[in-house]
Amino acid sequence: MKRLQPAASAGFWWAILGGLALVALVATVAVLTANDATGQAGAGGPHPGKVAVAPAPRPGVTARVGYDPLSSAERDAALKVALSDERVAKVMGGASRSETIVVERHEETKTVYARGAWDRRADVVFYLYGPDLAISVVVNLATRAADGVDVRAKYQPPLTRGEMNRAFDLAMADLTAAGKIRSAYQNRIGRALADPEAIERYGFVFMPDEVPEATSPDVLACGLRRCALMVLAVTGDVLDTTIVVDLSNGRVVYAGGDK
Amino acid sequence: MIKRFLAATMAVAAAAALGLFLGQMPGAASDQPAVTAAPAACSPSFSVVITFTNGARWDMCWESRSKEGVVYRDGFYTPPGYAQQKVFSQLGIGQIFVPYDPGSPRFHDMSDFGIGSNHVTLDGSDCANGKVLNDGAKDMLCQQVFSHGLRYLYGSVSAQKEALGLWSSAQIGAYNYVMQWNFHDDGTIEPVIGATGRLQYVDTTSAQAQHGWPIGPNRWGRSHIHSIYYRLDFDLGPAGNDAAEQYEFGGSGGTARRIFSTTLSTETAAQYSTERFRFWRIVDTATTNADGHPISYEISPKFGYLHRNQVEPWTLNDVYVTNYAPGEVCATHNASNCGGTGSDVSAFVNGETVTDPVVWLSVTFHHVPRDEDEVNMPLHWESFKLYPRDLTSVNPTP
Repeated sequence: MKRLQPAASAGFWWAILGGLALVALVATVAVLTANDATGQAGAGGPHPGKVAVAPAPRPGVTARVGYDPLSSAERDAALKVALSDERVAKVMGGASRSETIVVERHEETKTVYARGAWDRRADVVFYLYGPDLAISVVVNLATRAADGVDVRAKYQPPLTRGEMNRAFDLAMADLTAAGKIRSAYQNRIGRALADPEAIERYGFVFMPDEVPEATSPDVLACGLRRCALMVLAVTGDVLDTTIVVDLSNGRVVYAGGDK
Repeated sequence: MIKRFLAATMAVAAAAALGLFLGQMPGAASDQPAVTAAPAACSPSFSVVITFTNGARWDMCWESRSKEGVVYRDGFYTPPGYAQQKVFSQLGIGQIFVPYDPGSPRFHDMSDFGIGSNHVTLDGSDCANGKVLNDGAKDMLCQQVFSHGLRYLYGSVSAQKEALGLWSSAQIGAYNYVMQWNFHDDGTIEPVIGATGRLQYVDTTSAQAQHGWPIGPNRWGRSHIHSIYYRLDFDLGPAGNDAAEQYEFGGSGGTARRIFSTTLSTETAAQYSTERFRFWRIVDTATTNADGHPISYEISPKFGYLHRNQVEPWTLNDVYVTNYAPGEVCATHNASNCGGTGSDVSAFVNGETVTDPVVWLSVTFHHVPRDEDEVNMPLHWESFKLYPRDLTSVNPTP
């Protein structure tokens, strides 16, 4: 059993003698600083002047290492490697429409982290709407090669901004859904919707358990297909709509709300 | 009071200077235990190193991830006058589950919307007296050090406490979550989450009144739950040797109460118990303090709301102890939306022997809207604490 001891033990008196002057100096400074801080903030109030804060240069000044998130250059390089991989190209060849979902640092296992140093690697995730497949590519930025390619159905990572906008456009092109949106806008804002661009669009990637009352076969196919549950707002006020858009098939599969 | 404060400050400063001096003295190092290496696995832009007035210190790396938001890695705590100690490998959020009272909708914010990909940009006014850190894309993590009031008070002796606060905010639909982690100078870790923004659902028919609260003429704010699932991967001391234990207290109907402890050697799902004062701890079975007690961190839940239903099995328990597995990332929608292995945290508990415990803990808040929630909703906060238990043989700031 390894034992932890207080730091001051055998060298204690040694240090006391030699350190008295230093103690007095530090104590004086500490008292002055503490008094300043006490006057500045009570419990819960910040007073950063009391502590030593390590300098934090802005990202980009130093090279990315270890747990650091990818730099924009690393993201660009990872995307390029993933798109040029033959396995990826072969799968993507069968898709009429695809979306780059995310490019971020690959989460290594703890076994890898325990080594203390590891290659910079990226996860690049694409979604292919035709075959409804997610492609996850692990790109090694040191070797500029794809270490692994995983192709999976029924994996629906969160939506991109582009997908939210496309879902909204599809909703506005749908008679029922657009009617719900216009009616909800009228109720919430008090006038007719003149410009759809005024509507803020958010979206959850939709799984059927999110809206249990929606039970049509088209809705229940979400998860296998890629769907969006829209959250629409105007200057932060959410419109009372529950609209689910099937992005794989490009159509609205549920239009509720505006009760 | 001023005298008392001066005395306490002198003592703190003396201890700090002493520690500094000892580190420079020939021979002093041999009296100290081996110091676990400080985190070097991140560049200065993504490390946080804070030394408090009392000499205590926290070192860690941080990373913003698209789903999880900010995760804190390789956390080391140095009690004043003691050796640095590794505390955790990773702390972060494992899911935010938001079911509305009518039964719909039921949002899984982290897995289906993404926390980190929706961080808001902070400026100096958001982060008063602190500094805003940049993840490479935006200024999004506020670092503050603040007074936390009294550390202790006895007779003429008292001391003040400080904490490092790190927080980011993400807009999920109409909601803004503020996710804060306070790292105290006494080693306590306090995850805190606040919800603000705008009410997401306001109903306009009286049929919905039973599920909400009137907030205007023919308007009912829809009540809902925020269940925050935290993923806590402690790794105390040298690598390996960690174990999870459950403690509770009870008797046989009399006035006496005794302690019961269980080592969770296989994966376990457990419930909070207000009657049996249940808590958990992660203990390093190979490292002891000067009293010979194994060093540990206590997971001390805040007993609040409980939300259970049979349809969503992750709601049936409050604390899950699992063996570390790289595919276990999201407490719900793990396979379908996080690309992991296993559907949800209840399925992670599948009889595996626990050699590297990961604790999943839920904190639930039932939000019944009120008039004051419009226009801008005041932050409502939930938190709990993770305490050092026997990390040092006595209070390191006597």
